Amino acid sequence: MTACEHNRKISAYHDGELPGEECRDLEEHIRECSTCAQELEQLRSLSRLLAAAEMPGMSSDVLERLHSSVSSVREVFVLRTAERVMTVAAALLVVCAVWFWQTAGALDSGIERLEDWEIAAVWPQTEAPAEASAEEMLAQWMVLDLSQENGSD
Amino acid sequence: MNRERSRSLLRKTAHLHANDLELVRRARRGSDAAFHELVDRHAGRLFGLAFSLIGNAADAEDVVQETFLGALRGLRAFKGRSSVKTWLIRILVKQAARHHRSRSTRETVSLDDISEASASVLGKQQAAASTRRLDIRMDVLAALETLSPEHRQVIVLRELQGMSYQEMAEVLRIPRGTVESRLFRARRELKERLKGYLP
Ligand SMILES: [Zn+2]
Repeated sequence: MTACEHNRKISAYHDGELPGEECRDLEEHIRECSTCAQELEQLRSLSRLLAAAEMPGMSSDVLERLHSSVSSVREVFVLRTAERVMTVAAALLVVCAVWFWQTAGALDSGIERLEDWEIAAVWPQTEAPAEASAEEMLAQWMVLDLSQENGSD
Repeated sequence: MNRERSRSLLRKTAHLHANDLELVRRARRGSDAAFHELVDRHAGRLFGLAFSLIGNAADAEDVVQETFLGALRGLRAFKGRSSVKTWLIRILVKQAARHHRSRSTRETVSLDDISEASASVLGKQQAAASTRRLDIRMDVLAALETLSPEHRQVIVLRELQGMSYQEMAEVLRIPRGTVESRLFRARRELKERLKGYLP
C-alpha cells in the first residue's frame, strides 16, 4: 500500500470526529483513492473485530467482594474520623481548661481589684478604725496577759 | 450473603432515582448506601475496562477495587466538573497504569483467566459455545498486550468503551489532538498485529 497524505485523517473520519467540511472533502477523496478506501475498510474491520472480542463480564462474586471492601474501608474511615473527632475534642478540652483557668484567674484578680476598689471607696473611714481598735485590743490583751503572768508569781 | 442481598435491595429502593452526582453528594454527607449504589451502577463497566487494559480477571478486580477506594478517598475533592462516569474511568486508568508499572514479568493473558471469567458470567454451556469468540478475544488481548500503555488506553477507550475524543482527552488529561494522533498510531500497530483478521 503506498502512503497517501490523507491517510492520517481516515482514523478520525472513521470515528466521526472530523469537522463537517473536512469530512465532506475526505469522503470525496476516498471515492477516488483506493489507498484511503482500503485504510477505511481495514479500520472498520478492526473495530468490528475488537467489538467481537467482548471482554468478560463481572461475576456477582466480584461485585459482592467490591461491596465488602468498600464497607470495611468506610468503617475504618468512620472509626478514624471518630478517633480524630475525639482527639480534636480532647485537645479542645485542654485548650478550654487552660483558657478557663487563665480567665478564671484574671476574673479572680478582677473581683479582688473590684473589692479593693469598693472597700476603699465605700468603707475607707469605717474599716480603718475597726482595724485600729482590734490592734489596740490585741495590745491591751498582751499587756494584760503579761501582767497576769507576772502577777501569778 | 442474604444480608448483603437484602442490604443491596434496600440500597436500590432508597437511591434508585438519584442521578450519579446526587449519589456522590449523598455519599459525601456520609451515606454508605449511596456509595454502594454507585458501585452497583459502575462496577460492571469498569471491570470490562480494567480487564481490557490489564488482560486478566484477578488484576482487573484489584484495579476496580482500588478505583472505588480511590473514589471514596477523593469524594470531597470531586467538584462535579466532569461526569461521575468520567471521574471513575479517570481513576481507573491511573490505577491500571500504576498496576502495569508495579507488575513484573508475569503472564498477563491467561486462557484460564478468560475461560473462568466467561464461565462465571455466561454459564458453562454458553462458554463452550463461545469458543470462537474466546479465540478472537485471546488474539485481541495478545495484540493489545504488545501495545504501549498509552496506545492501549486510547484503543480500549475508543473501541471498547465507545468514548468520544473529547471524553478521552478529559479522562487522559491530554489535548484532543494528541488523542487523535495516538489513536492513529495505535491503530497502525494493531492492524499489523491482527492482519490475519483484516482484509
Ligand atoms: Zn488517499
